[in-house]
Amino acid sequence: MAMKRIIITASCLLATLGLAEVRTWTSATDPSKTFEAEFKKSDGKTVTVLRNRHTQKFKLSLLSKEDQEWVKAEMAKGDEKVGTSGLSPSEFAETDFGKALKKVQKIDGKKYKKAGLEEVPKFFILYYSASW
Amino acid sequence: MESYNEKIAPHPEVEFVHISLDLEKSAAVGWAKKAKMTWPTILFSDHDQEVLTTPYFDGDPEAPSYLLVDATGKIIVRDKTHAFAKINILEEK
Repeated sequence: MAMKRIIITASCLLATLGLAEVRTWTSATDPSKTFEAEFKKSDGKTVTVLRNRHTQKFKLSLLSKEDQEWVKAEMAKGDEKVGTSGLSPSEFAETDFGKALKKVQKIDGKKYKKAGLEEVPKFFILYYSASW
Repeated sequence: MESYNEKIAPHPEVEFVHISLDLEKSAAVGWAKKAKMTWPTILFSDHDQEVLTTPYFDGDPEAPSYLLVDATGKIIVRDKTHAFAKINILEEK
């Protein structure tokens, strides 16, 4: 019984800590060259990963375009503000309702321009109307 | 516009989203410019009917219609009076 409790506690702890994502990275020049590592951080020019329990830092440009875009997306996530809903804009964008609101625009001079939500509030007032 | 500027724009727990029912984009743009709308809008061509209309209305929504929903799209209250009353309650908390 005690052992079972220890296992459950350990599982919960690992889940809470959140195991970082180990992903496969690909070389920019040779797609056959790949390696597995956990993303740690990037300053936009370099990337730091944890590979086989060793930290490695190298130029972002050495990675494939897909990897570079993935890193940029991860960096953007870090800049996001969590709104009063408890969701970040990218988390909200994964939901059906968030997807439906993805195309919000704001009038800017004479045109409507894309205007994503910077923060996701707890509530929305949906106002259905027309000029007529 | 007054209600929006006073009650909604400064409120961190609420965002106002205009779901435009103008079929013609030019009509929506013309109205937005004239009324100096500052709120986010979904143009008619960008509507996801399955998410933004079907769950809330039997048929097409009347103009104007107001809904207060949570961040999952679940309806809290209908109509302008109830929606703004709820916002007032949130403000007082």
